[in-house]
Amino acid sequence: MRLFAFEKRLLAIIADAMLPSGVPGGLQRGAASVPTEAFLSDFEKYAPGESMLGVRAATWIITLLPLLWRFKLRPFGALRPTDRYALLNRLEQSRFYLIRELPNLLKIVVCMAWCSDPRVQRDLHFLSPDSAPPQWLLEASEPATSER
Amino acid sequence: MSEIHHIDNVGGGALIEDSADVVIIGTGPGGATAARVLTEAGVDVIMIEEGAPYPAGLRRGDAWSAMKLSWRDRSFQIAKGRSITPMIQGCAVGGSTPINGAIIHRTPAPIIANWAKKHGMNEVINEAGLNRVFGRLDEELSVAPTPKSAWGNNNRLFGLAADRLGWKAAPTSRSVAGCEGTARCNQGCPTAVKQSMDVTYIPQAMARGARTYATCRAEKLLRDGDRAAGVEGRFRDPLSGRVGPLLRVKARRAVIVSAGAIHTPVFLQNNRAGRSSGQLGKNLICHPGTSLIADFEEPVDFWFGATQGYECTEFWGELMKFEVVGLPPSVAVARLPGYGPELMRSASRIRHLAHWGLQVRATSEGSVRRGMFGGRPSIKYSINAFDVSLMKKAYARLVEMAFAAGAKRVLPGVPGIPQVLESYDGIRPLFDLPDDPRLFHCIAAHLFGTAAIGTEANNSVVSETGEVWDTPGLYVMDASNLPTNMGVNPQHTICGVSWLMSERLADVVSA
Repeated sequence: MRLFAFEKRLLAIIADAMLPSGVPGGLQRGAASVPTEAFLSDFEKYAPGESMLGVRAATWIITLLPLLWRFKLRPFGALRPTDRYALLNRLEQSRFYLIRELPNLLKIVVCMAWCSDPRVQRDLHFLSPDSAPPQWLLEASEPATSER
Repeated sequence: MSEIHHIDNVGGGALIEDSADVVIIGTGPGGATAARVLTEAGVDVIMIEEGAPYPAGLRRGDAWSAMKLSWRDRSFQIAKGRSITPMIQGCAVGGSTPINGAIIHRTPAPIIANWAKKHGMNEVINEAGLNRVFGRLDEELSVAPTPKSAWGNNNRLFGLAADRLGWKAAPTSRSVAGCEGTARCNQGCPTAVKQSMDVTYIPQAMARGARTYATCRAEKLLRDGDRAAGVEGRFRDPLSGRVGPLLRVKARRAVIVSAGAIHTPVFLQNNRAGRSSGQLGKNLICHPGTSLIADFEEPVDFWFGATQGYECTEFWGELMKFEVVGLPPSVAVARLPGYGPELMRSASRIRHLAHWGLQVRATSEGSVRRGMFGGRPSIKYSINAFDVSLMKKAYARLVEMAFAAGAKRVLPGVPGIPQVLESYDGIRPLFDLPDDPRLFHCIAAHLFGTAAIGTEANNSVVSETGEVWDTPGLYVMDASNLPTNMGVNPQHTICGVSWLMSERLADVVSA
């Protein structure tokens, strides 16, 4: 099951709100700053149909939910960034389980797409397992606890 | 030794035929151990595996490529119930062993005693027999405590916490020959030093003449009268779904089903076997687990060190166990609470985050039924209130460990609790929340019980030899025949039980 091009744009807006670029005190390279098309294309191709149905449903519901939100009356993409963040965080704290889980499904997909970029991996200081561990870590691997 | 047959090398014919003394469906710990024992006894064996080979060269280390190539339903196998519970299984040559944490535990003595008392497991499966076999398994699978050189900070801090609290803990015993601490067990060991079935018992059995047909899903049980007499399956590319030839293998003496606690009962249901007791597919039990994130002043760099190199068994008697969990970075970021700038700020501290998990010996039971129109199995499982109360207690203890090790903050990710805890007191409100399974993001990684062993045809699916009560010549050797969960990681138990059953079967075949 594949998303339509306009659905991918809706998902990209949500991804940008989940992992925004240029956050003071945070990582600078957000979801909109890295190419994620290749990952999403692969995910669409191989993820089970039910999962893609969930991604599609979550994308639509999050897009349309602000229409019902007090005083907003506009879709997710037309909200100010601060309102987008607030909405997502509110969904995460919802007392309704399925509402809480909606953005979570997208979060997993978005994070996998984002982390697939080598520059993000460098930003995260995630070193390839093939590279040698830093010296401090080798030293830290010596036991701090007594042998059990 | 022949190579593994799969859809890309079996040729384009419509039908492939073969025959052997014993045909085994599934190459996880149950099936591969059976192949190892039977071939050593001179029995001719064929193995059929739905998944594809997953060699080290394909193991890129990221979460998605591992899920795509080696996890059942790309990791989206879900149990429906009051909460959504991912049921994690592998689907590759070697079953789940290429992607598990390689954690090895012998079956606890109280569990074996319970099996003897309540499930009549005395003659074939007993403490003496299991201990004899565990010694062989330890030796052959290079079982040893995680070496200090492979600890990394994630494991070291966990050990430090247990030490400070005076709780029983130790480097995890794992089946790895020379762990380099790449923290990628769950994506497939990149150096193939993990002694999973695809690098141990499957090649050993093949060296003794066994044939392996991978990317082939067993569908039909062939019969000779009532007796199991072979298997038909269809080659199918696990990625594209491209369909290949039909495989028909005749079994001169026995068919063993080792497809795991979800797919074994479904195969039996589809083939009208094992249904006499009404228990087939029921009694689905598991170890639900969840994790927490602890933020330390010092770098943790959880991508160095054994994935699950340290564990705490202080509270095993209270049905809970704690262990280190090494997540792929993408999944680790997704587990962080919040969205937007808050998430990006948390992610910027990812080097400083430790991931520790808990599992409980749950009392909840679920069921498995075949899916409609041959689709995915329908899995039902709800974590009951008692088990949720256990998880709450376990979670609080895990928080206590994090602060004992010097964590500055804990990010629990539990609704109704502050998103950031700065002391142990912050977790106390957890106990005021209802015992609702929707509190936690749980996964279930150890699944048992859906074709359980018992003493009578009217209360169980298989006898102590593994033979299905109502179908002579058909055996079950995998986690589905274990009647209870154990509170410890089950690979060794599955191997041990399968080994003992296979020894008995080898005697039958030889006779």
